[in-house]
Amino acid sequence: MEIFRICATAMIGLFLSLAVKKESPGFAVLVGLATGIVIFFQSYGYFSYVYHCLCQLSERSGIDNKYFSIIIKIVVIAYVTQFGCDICKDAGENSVASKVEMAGRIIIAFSCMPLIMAIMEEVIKFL
Amino acid sequence: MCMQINIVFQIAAVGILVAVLNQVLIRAGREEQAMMTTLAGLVVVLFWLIQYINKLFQTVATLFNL
Repeated sequence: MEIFRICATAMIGLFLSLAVKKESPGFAVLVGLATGIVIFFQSYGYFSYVYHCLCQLSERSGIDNKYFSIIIKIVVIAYVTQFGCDICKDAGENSVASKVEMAGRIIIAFSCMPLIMAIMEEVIKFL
Repeated sequence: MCMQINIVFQIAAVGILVAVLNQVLIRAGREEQAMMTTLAGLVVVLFWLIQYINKLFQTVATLFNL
């Protein structure tokens, strides 16, 4: 099963990071980052399969493709923000992590504004 | 496109090498060179990682065809 390999990679990365942490903390963060990237590429196949299934579902359900792509964009923004935020927390820089998180929220709010506008028009039409 | 784990081993090896070199230089009384070596090692590893981070973000972008 794939999950065993991912856990093994995480363990290897963890111990290497701890081994290097005492002399040079900088490298420990870099090893952690590299482990994160390796684990992402190992679980890459599952992402693409899930995405294809979601695409088929959204086409069959007749929802406008524009809304579905906004949702996917938000998911990707959330993932990348989480990735950067965790690296900053790992290095102990909580202030930088919260800045990245705040920026991520603002970008997500920005990208889903069209949805909110569309909903508002519908609601106003009813009233 | 399975990503090998050897990138993690390479970074750890550079880290340990720089740490040992650092101790040797400090014992030899050259603190400045020791700090320079650590910085140099950090910069080299950062250049490696920048390529992998770029590949990661490219893959995420093409994966969800944004």
